[in-house]
Amino acid sequence: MELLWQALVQGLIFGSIYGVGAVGFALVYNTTRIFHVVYGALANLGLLVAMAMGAGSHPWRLFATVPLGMVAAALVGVAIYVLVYRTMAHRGATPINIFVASLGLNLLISAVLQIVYGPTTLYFDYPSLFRTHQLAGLDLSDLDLICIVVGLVVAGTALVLIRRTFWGRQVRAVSSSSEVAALVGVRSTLVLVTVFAASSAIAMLCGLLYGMQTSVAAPVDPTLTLLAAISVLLAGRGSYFGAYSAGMCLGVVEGIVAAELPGQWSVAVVFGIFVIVTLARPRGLFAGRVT
Amino acid sequence: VIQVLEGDVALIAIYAIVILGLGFIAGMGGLFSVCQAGMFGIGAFVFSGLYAYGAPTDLLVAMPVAIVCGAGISVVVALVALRVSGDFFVVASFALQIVMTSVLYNWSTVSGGPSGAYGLPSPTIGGVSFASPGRNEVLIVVVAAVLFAFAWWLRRAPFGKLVRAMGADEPALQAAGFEPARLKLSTFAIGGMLAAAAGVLYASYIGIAQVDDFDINVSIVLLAAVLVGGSRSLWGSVIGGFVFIGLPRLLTLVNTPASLAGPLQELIFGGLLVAVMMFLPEGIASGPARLRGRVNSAGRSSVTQAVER
Repeated sequence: MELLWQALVQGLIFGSIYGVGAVGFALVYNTTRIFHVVYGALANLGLLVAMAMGAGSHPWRLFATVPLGMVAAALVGVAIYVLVYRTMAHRGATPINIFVASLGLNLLISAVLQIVYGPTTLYFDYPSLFRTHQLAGLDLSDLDLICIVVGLVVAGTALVLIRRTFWGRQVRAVSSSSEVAALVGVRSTLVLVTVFAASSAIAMLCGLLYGMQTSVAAPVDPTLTLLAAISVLLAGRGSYFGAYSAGMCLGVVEGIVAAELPGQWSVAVVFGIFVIVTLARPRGLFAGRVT
Repeated sequence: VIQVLEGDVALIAIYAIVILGLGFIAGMGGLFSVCQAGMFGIGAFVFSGLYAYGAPTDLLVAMPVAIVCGAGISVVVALVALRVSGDFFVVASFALQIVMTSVLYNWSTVSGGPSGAYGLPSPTIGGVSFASPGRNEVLIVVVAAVLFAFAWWLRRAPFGKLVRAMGADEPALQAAGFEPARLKLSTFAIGGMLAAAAGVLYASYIGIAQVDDFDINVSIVLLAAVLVGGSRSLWGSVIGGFVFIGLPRLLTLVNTPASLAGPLQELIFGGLLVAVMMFLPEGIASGPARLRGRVNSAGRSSVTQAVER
């Protein structure tokens, strides 16, 4: 029983990370309907930039280098929007063509990172991060608590920004119709630039938390992007809190499966569930929502 | 250059078969599947599985088993394609690819886990061994030639016309009274069969089957090869296979270290994929037609052809 609780908590921790990833992915997907698969590569890029400046070596370095990593990810993310997606949209490319281009960009960035950083695997090696506490009979490290708090903060901030601010209203206007938004004076290109920048910065945070919990390597792991994308699809377009919760649920399912089944079946089970849901309810779990 | 590539003729032929299969699905049918490497892997692991469980690995046994498995699993992908389309389908096939990779990883009796299955036997047909150097290559090239002939015939048959019409304009096909569902199932079955057959040839040729050789990145590169090589012609897949295997080899000629060959290949294919999607979304083969502004009529004509058959 205790083991199951521990597995559940482990699931919640990774679920927070996936939730953060889902919120960033949802920003782009909800606003532009673009399947931004290069998202995971942006996370890795920002993370590796931070690592190159010594983020993994000392805790205080982390606070100095993480913003730089976020800026790097944001710059590349915005460049991709302006140079690739926007150009393609102007040329009348179909969503699927943009998606395939994004797949290509993912491969491209992954390759560049491998060439620049080589095949080494990096770890965050400061013991204080992994110091464990006993909370109600469960083992939790400082890092675990950070993951949960950052998850809640990112999801909460995104929600408030989208719902309550002028920027959020502009983003929602562009997402429902960029033509109408332009008609009433919203500069949609500028809004989308900020959306891509914010999404990339969140991607970097998600990659950072994931890298701290596991390890960092140059080849881009597609699993993280796919988990974020699936969370957004399961939640349905338009809902940020839903995307966060779906990411959380995937993490919990993964945690419990990992505890109950031998080997590494959890990935197969999580994506298997998604495929079955797709077959059963092709419009997502919360079908019927019109946005 | 020729000398370097000589040793790779068999591998080029094998990848050309895989790309040929994906050409039916993604190139002609317009269903952008990113799990073709998984299908390829199924063939390879049927072969290593038969060996691991002590079953006969003669190609007369292994080929039919692999083809049935490949077609069967490909039809599962097709079922997903019937329910969702466009970018949703790409995500779903992405997920299926990862499911396949992770199942194979875990099923270590068959796959050898992360380290791979080694020491697989050389191909035999009805007890006749094709182990000696040269004979194996000839076998592979002959099989590839037969499959290409089959694909050439199929492409011109009414079935192929319908698949191309589906890729060009699915609503028009429906309006003309054709049901795309069965067409999608059979397109995927054919693509899966070809990939699985190539997988058997691959595993028996190099004697190794490693899960990493059939992962999502390979799938994306394969899709790139189809789209870049001009998706509507069969020669595109030969060129694709040539580039897929030949490119890393040629890179080693100009003194790039072997560890960079993989990333460089991904770099080039990633870049090509972006460029083709941006500037020539119909594939390189459409370049001249697009310049003359005839792309639309070319797309439509295959529908009319199919309808008027």
